[in-house]
Amino acid sequence: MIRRDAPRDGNGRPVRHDGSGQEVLGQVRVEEVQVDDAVLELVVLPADDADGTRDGAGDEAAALAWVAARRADTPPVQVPLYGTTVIWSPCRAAILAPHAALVAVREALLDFARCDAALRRLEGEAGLLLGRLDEDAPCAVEFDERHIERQASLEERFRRSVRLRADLADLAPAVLRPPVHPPTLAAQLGERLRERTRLADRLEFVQAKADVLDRVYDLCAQRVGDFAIARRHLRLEWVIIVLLAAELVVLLVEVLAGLGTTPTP
Amino acid sequence: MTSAPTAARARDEAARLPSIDVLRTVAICLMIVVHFVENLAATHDAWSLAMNRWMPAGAAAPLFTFLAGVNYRLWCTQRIARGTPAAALSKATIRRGLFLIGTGFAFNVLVWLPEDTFNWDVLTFVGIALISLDVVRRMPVSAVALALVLVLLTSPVLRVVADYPSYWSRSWFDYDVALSDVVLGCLVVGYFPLAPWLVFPWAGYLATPLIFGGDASACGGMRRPLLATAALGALSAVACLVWPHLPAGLRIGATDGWTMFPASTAYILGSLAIAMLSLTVLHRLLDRGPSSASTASLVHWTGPFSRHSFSIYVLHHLVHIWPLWIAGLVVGDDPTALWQVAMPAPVALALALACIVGCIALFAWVDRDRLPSLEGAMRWLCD
Repeated sequence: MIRRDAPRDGNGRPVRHDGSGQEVLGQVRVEEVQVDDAVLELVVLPADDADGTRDGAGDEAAALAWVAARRADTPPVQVPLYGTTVIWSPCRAAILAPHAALVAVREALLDFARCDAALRRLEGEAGLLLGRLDEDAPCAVEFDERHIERQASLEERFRRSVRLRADLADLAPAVLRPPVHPPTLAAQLGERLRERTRLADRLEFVQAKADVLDRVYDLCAQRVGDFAIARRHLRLEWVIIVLLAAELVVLLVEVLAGLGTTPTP
Repeated sequence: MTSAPTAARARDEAARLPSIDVLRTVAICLMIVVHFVENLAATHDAWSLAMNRWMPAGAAAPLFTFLAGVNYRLWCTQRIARGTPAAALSKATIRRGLFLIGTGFAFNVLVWLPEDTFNWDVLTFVGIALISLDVVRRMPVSAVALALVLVLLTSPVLRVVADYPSYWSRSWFDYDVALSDVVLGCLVVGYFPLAPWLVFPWAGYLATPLIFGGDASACGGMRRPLLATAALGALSAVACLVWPHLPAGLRIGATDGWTMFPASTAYILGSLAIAMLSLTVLHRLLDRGPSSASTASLVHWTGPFSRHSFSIYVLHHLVHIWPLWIAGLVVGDDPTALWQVAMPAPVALALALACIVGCIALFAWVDRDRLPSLEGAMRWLCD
């Protein structure tokens, strides 16, 4: 986990809205947390500041602006619950929560962020593999000498397709986990985030894509395997044919030499 | 504007490999020189006898047949890349093979006279080899290698079984026109019998990816072909060393184990090593920059020779054998009266050089005016 100090104003107080939202979180540290393959910038703001200087509504707006500033194309997801607010986008997140709940909420958010990042990676991978499907699908029907140069790439995509399926199987329990009983603030926030980002639906879509990939690449692997076995058999058959042909030639020469009307030298 | 045939020819020119053109030209020139000196002057006098002994006889045929295998593989690769179906490739191959066999028999009748129709000379051999390559093309590499080794190892035994020496008198293949002799001639005892001469085109076919790699115009590594060459050379030396210790029946031909008729194991392995080494080195030297001025000039001179090798093979026989027969009939009753005694070796050598120069001029004219040639007829009939 990496920590870095966020910029602050001359009096050490948080700077309010400046457009980008970066400076507003003046005295608060921005953490960079590795979630799956991505890095999440996280800000944790206590909602019950002891000196009374914190402006709750202003902090929330500033945090929202800060989170939204990184990826303008993806609107942040904002989940308010019992005086706690979590604002999340794939690259940035902010937590505004009472001191007592901060740690648990932070863990719940990171748990969700890991699931989302993993799912995003798998969505991307499934998209890439599906993009090559038209090219590879004919090999599921027939694989012969003409396709031999594609064997390595097919094997690689088969391996990726299996990896995708394994990762999805690995991810599913985290995405589809049942609600915690008795409910806690952190658990409920996690559930809300999963609902708002439709993790379960997205997982299902990726699984559907993985099903298609499975079917095609399973068949391709089968064809490649069959071809390799057929080649081995063919080699053996040709060796037998060659040996039989050699025996036949020796026999023929023997017979012809016996019949021969060889001239006297 | 470029006409379609001209464009096709330009494309064909661009696709040619200078290494193959040069090596085939060397093989043809050697063949012309050896044939002229041997057929016209070998036993004319002591000086001619000595000169004939120093002629590189036995160097051209292995190169020529090895290149037939190399060329066939490159031709197949090119055709497959252009989308030619396998069946069409087979048809073209078999037609070409049959064309060569037919031309070979016609050549035997017209040049060597009808009693030598079934002497199994190089043209009939290349025709059969071409048809065999259509089978080899479908075989796994390991099976071809096994077949090659079997042909190499069984040939000396087959010669013993067939009683090879009884078919050869005064260095000529002497047979009766009977089915057994004709078939044995083709298989074991003729001038270029399938056992062991099939080794050359098959080895050429197998060695092509080794020498040229995946892309014929790119320069492949030299390590593997050089290792193969070294191994073949070493095996040839071993075969020569073992030769005196072999049973007397197996030692047919020269005392040192290096004979072309019959093609001894040492001769085959050594010739293969020479052919592979030459092609590898030439490929390295010439094919890297086919558009450079020196290489382009080399292709300009050797291209016609290589392109018309088939025609030149027939033509050079016609221009020295027919006059020899006619002169024999004039001076005596036998057309072979002047065989090997027609003139001194230096004169025969000069005539061979004149023939080479004449061929350069003739086939430059044939190319320029697109006159018919045997190769053109083969393509027209078979492709």
